[in-house]
Amino acid sequence: MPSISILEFVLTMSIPLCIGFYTYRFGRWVSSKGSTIGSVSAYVLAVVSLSVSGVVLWRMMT
Amino acid sequence: MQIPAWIQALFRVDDSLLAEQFVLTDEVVEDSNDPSKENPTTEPSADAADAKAQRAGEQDQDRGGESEEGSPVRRGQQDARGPRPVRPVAIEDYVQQAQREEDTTRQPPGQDDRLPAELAEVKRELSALFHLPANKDVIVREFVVGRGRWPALAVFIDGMADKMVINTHILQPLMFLSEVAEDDTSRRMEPITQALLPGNQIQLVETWQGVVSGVVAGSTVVFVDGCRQAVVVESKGWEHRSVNLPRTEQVVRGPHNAFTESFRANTGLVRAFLRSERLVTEILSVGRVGKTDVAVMYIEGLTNKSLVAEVKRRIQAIDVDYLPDSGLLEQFIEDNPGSLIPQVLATERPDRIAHMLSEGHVAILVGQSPYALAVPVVLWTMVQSPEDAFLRFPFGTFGRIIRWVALLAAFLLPACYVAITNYHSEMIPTDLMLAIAASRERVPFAVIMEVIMMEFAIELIREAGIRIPNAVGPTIGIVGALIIGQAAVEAGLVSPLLVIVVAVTALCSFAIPDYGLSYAVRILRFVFLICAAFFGFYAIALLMCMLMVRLAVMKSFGVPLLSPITPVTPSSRDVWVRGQTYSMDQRPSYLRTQMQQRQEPITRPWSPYTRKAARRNLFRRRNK
Amino acid sequence: MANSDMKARIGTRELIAMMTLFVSTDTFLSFPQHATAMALEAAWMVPLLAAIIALAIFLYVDSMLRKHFYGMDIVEVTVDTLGSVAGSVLAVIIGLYFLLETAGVMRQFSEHVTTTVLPNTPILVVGSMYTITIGYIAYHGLEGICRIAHLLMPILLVGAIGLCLLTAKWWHPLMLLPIFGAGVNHILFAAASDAAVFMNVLLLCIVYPHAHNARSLRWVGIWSIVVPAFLMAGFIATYNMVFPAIETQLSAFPLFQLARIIYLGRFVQRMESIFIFLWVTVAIVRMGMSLWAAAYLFARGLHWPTTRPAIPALALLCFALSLLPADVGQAVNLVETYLIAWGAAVVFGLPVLMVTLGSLRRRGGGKERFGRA
Repeated sequence: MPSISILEFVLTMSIPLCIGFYTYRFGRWVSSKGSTIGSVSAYVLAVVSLSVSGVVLWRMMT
Repeated sequence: MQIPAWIQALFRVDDSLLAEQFVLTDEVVEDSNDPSKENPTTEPSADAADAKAQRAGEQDQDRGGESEEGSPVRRGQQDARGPRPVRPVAIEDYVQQAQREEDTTRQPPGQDDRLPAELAEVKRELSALFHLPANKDVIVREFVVGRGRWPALAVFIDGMADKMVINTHILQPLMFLSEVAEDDTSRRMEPITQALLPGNQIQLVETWQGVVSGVVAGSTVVFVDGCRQAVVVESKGWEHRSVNLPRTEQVVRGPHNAFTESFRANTGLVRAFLRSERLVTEILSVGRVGKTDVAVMYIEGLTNKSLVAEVKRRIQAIDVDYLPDSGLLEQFIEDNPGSLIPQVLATERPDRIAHMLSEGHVAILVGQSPYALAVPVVLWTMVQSPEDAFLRFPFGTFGRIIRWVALLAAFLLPACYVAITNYHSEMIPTDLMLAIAASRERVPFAVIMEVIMMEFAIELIREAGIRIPNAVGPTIGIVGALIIGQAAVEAGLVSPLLVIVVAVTALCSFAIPDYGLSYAVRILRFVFLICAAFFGFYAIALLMCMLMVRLAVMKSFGVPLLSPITPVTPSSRDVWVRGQTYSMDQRPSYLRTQMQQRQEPITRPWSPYTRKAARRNLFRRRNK
Repeated sequence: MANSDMKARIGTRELIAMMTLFVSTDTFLSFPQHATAMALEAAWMVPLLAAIIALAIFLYVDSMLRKHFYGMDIVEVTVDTLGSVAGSVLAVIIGLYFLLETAGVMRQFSEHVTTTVLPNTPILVVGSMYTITIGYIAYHGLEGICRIAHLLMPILLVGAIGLCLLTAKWWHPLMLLPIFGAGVNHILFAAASDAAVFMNVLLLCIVYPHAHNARSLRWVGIWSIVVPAFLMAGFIATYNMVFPAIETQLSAFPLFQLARIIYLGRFVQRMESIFIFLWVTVAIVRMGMSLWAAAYLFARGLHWPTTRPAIPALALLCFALSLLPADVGQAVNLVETYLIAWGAAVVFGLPVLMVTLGSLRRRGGGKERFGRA
């Protein structure tokens, strides 16, 4: 039943997505404080954590 | 589509992350004498931050070109953080200031005006202020003073003012016993205040503001025709419950009186226990529609000044229509309003307040509330009973240990039962395991269902017990508990072992002295229960860690809730166990009092035993 | 409270407790297995020798910091010596090390939970519960972590010593013979390669400015190296007295095995469930601390104003990284090869390098600055 496990995967991914979005807001905030390195690194962190957890969840749940 | 506010709040990242909590320090003690400094606590940190920024700048300069590429970012970051004292105080003060200015413009007309000289005008404005023909509580009694026949009137609120005082100490001397000579009409008040009014507290007021606050507080205000002043004569005398036994904090040994619904009686009770000229009672008033008196009590020269200032700051910031009770004030002033664990001690025992004042706490009494508040408070205080100190130290210690065990059991017993029966059954002895299995054989529910059912029944009995009429209360309680327990077992709904577990848990939660804490324990118990049902001991351990870290960073008026255990601060032995009274010579240092020493190290100089112990204590302290 | 993690002040005892707990966690991980595999019967000497190495390095770093950089941490020293870019790079490298280390520990502890306590629960759930908890704890900052470490310290000491003593019935001291196990050079090699478990040296170099009393830090370091060393040595010795060294090499979770065999009559037996509280709470402190350290270092290196908003993403990253290896064998292998054996380069190499470079510079050119300070 691949469709169900893909649904599960999508539902589970909502949590990393929320965290990613939060981190993106963090990056925006840091950039408003005038730190370019800080904001770029926050965006990188958001993308990396999202993608690594995406890979892991995909492998484990499907 | 509108995104709900709470989801937005979940993803909000803004400067509030940099806000800091109030921390009790010594540094402000000298500063806070200076009224020009609005908020002394921010000063040192601001200075330090400035100095640090300056140092960093110098270092950058020293390095010259080499660090050129890094420093702008760094300096930019520091600039971007803005002025370092990021406490939101300034803006709050600013808002309050604006509010205050607004208030003065929004006051009902007449409140700040000066009193008129003609009595007819006075009467007209009084009617307008107190909505007079309709408002039957406010009595306006017109009369003439002495044979001079000066027209006068007295205003008071029926039921709040003492009739005897008004009849015999205001009306009688003014009407019958006075002989006044006609003089300049505007100076008629002088003979009245100096010779004719035998009240022990009088006050001359010139504005309507003073008149109104006097009348609503139970005083009688006397106007005389031709004077632009009025006399406020103290005549408070409303009915209240007399000083009675404490309802929730009974002791076997120790004082048996409790606060009552009278503000002045309450402050008087504290003063009766702690007779000191240094005990200061400052009275603030809170509320727009109706004023409530809030007394802030502390010992001058002992209590940390920044603490007193912070308490007053928080109380003055309250802007409500009406503040009925100390329970509401508590919610306005506590540090973490979202936390289950109370951060303010509410007590109805004046002796406890007196004792805490002498330790360096600040006491807050609110209007007619029979519960006084003491701040700051640490978690351990909430598990102590006043009796610990009144009994000899081994008994106090024993009581405390029992209470700690009770607290732990009230938290964890049902959760552990569920975890053990579901996940860790190997750890109970085989016979007991068989007994549990046998007793559960007839039960058609999962363990967690059973426990939640029984816990709910107990909570029901507890909640209903508060409202069941006194005459039948105990009967219903016992019958309810017994019948539910017995019948549930017989009907095969729950296992007998579980009834024991739940009953012991209920008993334990009654052993917690603080009402707020016991509520917190009751709620947390369900959280632990549900987690234990899903993940056993693992979840209990994780939850314990989360709870502990939450407690560890919580502060009550700048004092960490778990001090003096962690952070470790020197203090006399008064946490897990009760120390000997004669060796408790130090105040808790987390309160940062102005006098650390409470009594001489050697308080029983005639006793060789205590001399030795005291010397040992001194030695230990010096080594620290 | 929120900003307090950037300038929290921690008392000496809390720091000692935190560091001790931090290092002692390795007792419950693959360290005994690893040490035994290398030194056989003499495995109990490995932590002691490793501690001596760590102690010597710590004392060197501490005396250098004290002499030339009083009250500064390793990042500040680097900024001072090599400029702020180098400081950022160093902070990010150490932060990454802590992040990977958290992930490694999390994988091992999650596997412990799934193999012993909750065999029917998927590791995804167990791991995410760990993640939520350590995220929550790291979010509350250094103060919170050190304070719970102080509260948990008695549990660790009583639990670990109790565990060793309760198995006294099964001790066979002869199993510790031959005294030098696999041979002296094996022991020395094991000690040198395992010295990285004393990560508190690095940690101390980071929390240096957070101590209430920078003078007491030397004692914090000494205590937090000596106490865990003896705990580990005692534990490994006990374990090897109960189970032969050959078998120890195969045991993934020695604490659990040891707790299982406790039998003091009918009523005191099968205590392994009680010890869940011990190792789960200690693991939480360990991972919470290293996650906080990673977040703190990233914040320092990448110019974030505060650590807090990054914690959820970092926790998630740890969780995902911990599940990246296909199985626990691979995970342990990765941890042992890269984080312990080569970790020494980060744990000891970087601090030593930085303070040495820094002190050379100070001695050479920075006389006037030092004089002014």
